[in-house]
Amino acid sequence: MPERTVRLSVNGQVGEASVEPRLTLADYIRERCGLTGTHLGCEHGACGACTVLLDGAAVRSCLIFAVQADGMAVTTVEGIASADGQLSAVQSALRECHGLQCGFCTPGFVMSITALLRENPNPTDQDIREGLSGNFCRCTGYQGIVNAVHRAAEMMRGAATG
Amino acid sequence: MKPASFEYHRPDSVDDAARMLAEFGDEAKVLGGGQSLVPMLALRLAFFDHLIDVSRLAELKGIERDNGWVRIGAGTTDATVGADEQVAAEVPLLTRVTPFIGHFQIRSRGTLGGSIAHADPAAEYPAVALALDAQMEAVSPSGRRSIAAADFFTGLWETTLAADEVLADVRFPVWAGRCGFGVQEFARRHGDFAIAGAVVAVELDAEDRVSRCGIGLMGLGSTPRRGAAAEAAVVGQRAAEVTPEEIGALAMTGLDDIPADLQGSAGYRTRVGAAMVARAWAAATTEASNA
Amino acid sequence: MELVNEFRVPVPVDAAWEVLTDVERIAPCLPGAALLSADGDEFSGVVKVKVGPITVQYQGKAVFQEKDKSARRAVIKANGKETRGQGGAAAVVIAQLEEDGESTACVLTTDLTISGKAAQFGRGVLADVAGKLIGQFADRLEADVLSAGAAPARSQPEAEASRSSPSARTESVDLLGALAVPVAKRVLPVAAGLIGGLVIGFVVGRRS
Repeated sequence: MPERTVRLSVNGQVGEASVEPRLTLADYIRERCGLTGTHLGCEHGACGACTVLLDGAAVRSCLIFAVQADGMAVTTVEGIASADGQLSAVQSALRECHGLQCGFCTPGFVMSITALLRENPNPTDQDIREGLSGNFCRCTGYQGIVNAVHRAAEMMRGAATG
Repeated sequence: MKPASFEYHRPDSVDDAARMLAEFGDEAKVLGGGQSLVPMLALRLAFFDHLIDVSRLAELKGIERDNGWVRIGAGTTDATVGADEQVAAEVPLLTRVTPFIGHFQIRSRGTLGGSIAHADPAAEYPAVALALDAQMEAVSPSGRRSIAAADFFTGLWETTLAADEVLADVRFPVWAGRCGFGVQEFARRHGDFAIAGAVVAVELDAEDRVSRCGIGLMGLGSTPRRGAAAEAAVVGQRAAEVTPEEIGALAMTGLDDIPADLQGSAGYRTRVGAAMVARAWAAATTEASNA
Repeated sequence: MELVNEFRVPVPVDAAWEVLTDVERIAPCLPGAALLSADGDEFSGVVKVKVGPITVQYQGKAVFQEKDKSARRAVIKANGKETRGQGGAAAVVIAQLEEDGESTACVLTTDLTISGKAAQFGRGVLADVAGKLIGQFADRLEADVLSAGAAPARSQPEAEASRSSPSARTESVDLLGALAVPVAKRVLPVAAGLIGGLVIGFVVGRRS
């Protein structure tokens, strides 16, 4: 099937490539851009390991074809820390609160939590658990992750007022 | 797994999309948000030589009042529908059912039209469309037509959309007056397809008698279903005189193809379904009597 | 799993038997099917079934294991493999014809084993799909039989049958089409009793 040219901005860098239409955004990010922080867990939209931000909205990159994202801006976990390498509030909080073990689900959680806290800077436990129901973790039992979200929200509130 | 190869088309307009569907026939499929279609392609349960991407067509997006109806473009995302204030005020069932759709990442891309055209029997928007007697508007190379919800869903993942038709808009009637709405869905994990679910719309008159009632059922057939027996029984009755359990049980009569699978037997689904209707009814009538 | 389906054709039972055991004639009537070869009682073909966006295509063989003309009973054993997948389907179909005045009722009892992607569907969906396929088959068969001219005479089994050459095209079944007047009725497996009843009725009917 004929290839198409796509032009995407990934973490602020614009790139152009020729792709098969069936190449998913996840595979584009991982294979064409070399950004393997975005993980493939189930490849059918259930596990959340592939979550990225597309024009600011959290989406399943395994359910989008790269050709559909032509002209759009993608943010992956590699684009979350600041340019000098300082971890974001969400990343620091996950580390501080033991919100990860093997780390496979973590990029998906980082992206989802980042998006959630933008929408709702003061989430309750229930808000958090419901909001993150689309991200699966096999290691932690989730409590550390929930704690991390509260901690990140607190840090972000502190930074805002501080 | 990766999808099989296909050719990708991005039409400039709905008419263009319909023309492509007509041209490619059986081997083409409309791609909207892709949240239902792409998993099927990825698991290789479905194969199409041509995908027609309508996800960027501005003419398919938008929410507007249209006389006594709210018209929602088929390409409007679930997230947009769920957050819209006009929808919350005028078609609250849509707003209240949206959080049950998958997860927020799914809702960023999934569309109202996509959900209705895909016609999964456990999906939320089809049940709301059926309960409220929505109108689906479809565009084909031969023009535009309106399809009533009652005539739209014909079988598992099957609708009366013709092979060359693109679902363009869905119009939902605005229920005015003393109305109340309830949504109840049961699934093992948040975001899973409903094992059984119910959406209820009820309108009461000044004496608290039911003047009309719409009950949409999810997961209880090969299509979304109406709790028709319950609706008929309840019209004219005083809301307080109908027990939720009665309504729940009545809503389950006449359902002849309740699924039985790994998630539950038909008997189990029936019990859960009755409870979902009962609770949604209770919520709806409480809201209506306070209106 | 067991599926039971029934359909009728508006011709007397002897003529119905001849038509229904003439594979080359009935193959074009089976929706989404294409006959690849026919060799006596053995035939091979392809069937493509669509449920909404999902398509499953099987390629395989079927053979008449039994053909009892006096009892109007045939047993067909069929199996096929998915052309795009690892699964397959195997079926043993018992077809029993019964005289009903100038018409014939045909009851199909199918013992079906499915593996692969179609196996994910519950029993209800498979029974639904089978029912619709049989319904469309019966509609087309009726149209075919009627278009073959006046009611075929009982004593001329072979003569009038119009032979269409094996179709090489594979159209997919759009099960939506079965919305048209359903000739077939979907009968649930409780119909073990029904079959018994039909057989008894048949026997009793024949005696009188």
